[in-house]
Amino acid sequence: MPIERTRREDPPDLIEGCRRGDRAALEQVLTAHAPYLERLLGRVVGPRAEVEDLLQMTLSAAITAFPQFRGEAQVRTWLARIAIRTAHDQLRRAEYRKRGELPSMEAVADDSNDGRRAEAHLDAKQRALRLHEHLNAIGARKRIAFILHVVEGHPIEDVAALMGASKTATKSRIFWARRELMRRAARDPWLKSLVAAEGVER
Amino acid sequence: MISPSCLRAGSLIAARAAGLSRANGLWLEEHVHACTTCTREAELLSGVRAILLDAELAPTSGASNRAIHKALHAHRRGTASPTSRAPVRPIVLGLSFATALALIAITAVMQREYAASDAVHATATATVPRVERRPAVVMSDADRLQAGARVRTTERLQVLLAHASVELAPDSDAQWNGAARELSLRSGVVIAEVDPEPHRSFAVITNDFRVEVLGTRFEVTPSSVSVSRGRVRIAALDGTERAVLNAGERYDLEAETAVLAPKPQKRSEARKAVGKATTAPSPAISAPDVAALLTEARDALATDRFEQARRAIDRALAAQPAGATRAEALTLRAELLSAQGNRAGAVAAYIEVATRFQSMPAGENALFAAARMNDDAAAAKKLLAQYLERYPHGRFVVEAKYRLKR
Repeated sequence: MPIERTRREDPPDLIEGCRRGDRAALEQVLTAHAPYLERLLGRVVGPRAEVEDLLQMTLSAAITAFPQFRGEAQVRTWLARIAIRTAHDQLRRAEYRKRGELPSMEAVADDSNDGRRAEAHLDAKQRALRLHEHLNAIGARKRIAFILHVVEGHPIEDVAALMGASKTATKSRIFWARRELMRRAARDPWLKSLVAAEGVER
Repeated sequence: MISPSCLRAGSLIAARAAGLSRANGLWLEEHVHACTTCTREAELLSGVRAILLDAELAPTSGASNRAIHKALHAHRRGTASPTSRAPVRPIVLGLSFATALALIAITAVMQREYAASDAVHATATATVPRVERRPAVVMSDADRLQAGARVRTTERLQVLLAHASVELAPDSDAQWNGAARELSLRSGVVIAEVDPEPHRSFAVITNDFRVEVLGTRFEVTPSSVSVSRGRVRIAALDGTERAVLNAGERYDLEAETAVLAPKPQKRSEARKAVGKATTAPSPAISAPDVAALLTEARDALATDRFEQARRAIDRALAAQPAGATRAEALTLRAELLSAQGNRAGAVAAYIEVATRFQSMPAGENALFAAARMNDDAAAAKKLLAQYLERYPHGRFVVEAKYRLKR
């Protein structure tokens, strides 16, 4: 994702239509922003089937809340905020927080203690799933802030605005997420191999 | 105990994706070379980012559409709370049963109305008092309408036919054949959105051609077809294939006729007609216009309106802009090819940008993008090596190194 695209704001009459609950306007606006929201939710919660449900929850919440949309932020930002709140609620549920329970990770480690060889057996999606097992162990707020900043490349100010938090709190969340990830990298050979792949030359 | 330098380095490592200033980038590079802990963190985060960006995390493209439709339907029903499967299943089943009963009752009433005359002229006002708030007349039980229900609209009307959601523009005249799942369009405009269901066809027929579809959104007038999503096949009424349209493409009957049978003395007219469906470069476009065209292209690209994006990019390039503007236009062209799934074309276009605009950020971005998109591993490595040589302190140095080692 090397090149960022900037979006022009949605036309005011379209937004007004959304506020009134006009189906055509809602459909047009949601169709324009849904792929972005889908990608965002996919990044935050990982490659799960629930992404579609989360997207639906986000869009339903947006449709309901549109009459209260004051237009102070861009529609995309506002929708992203709803998506992140939805993802956050979902991530806080017990089933998403399996601290220390990494069954597939253990299985792969049994096959081979060599992190690099294990990595070779996983395709991109499996590797992402495995990585998300680690990310799942990090608290929801920290994890979301980390992904938005480190992976998605949003500046701290934007992450703070999206999460409704202060800049200081956002920085702190990202810091602790990084610590947690480093701590887990020390324990998991596969995650460690990401470091080792570069570290050997030093 | 973490040193203040390492604390600063950590923040900068995390912020690399968001972009670092030149000074911060250089400082970080120096610090990372001297600090093993920060090197490890940099490589770990780079690896994490590469894995998450590499993986196709988003579900299939249909997921967005399904979610939008479910959300809109739920809103219309007044049940804005989304699918929360397990706990509400009995309630959903109950509601579904009640809805099915209601649909059967509505259909029965409608069927009686249709039977009253050979061709029922169902106006939107007669069936749906407030189209804006409740635009869909549910005619989902297709078999009951197979007698040839005909609809003439005086205002926009949305109907559910089989597995398609069809929107009829005002003053449209169409006839639904439920058994064959075919909608015959006599006049007006039809916008159809069809859920992908293998083994269940859906077609719109005009006087001149037939549009077959499995899963897409497309617009049909008696003389043209535009595809927003998916893929459709256009055939003559005798079944001969005329065109296969992908998302963003348009078929114009008038233009096609002009191309197939050009009259020498009217070649310019034929070209003009084709131009409606292709490109009509303006001879003199001012700089602000080029900027507006690029903005239009970017917007169109962001919303998958590829044909519109292509036209805007072509027109911008035809104005022969220089420097950063030209780099941006060429980059957009590469992005368009990439979005259309033409990876080889996109790589070539990115390489062109990288070669011609080496000293610009666009050139750096393009070189890395070309490496990332290249399916040929050896060529990709060569491009990555070239990137590292050309931009030793570049924005994607860590990722490029990681990919080279992989």
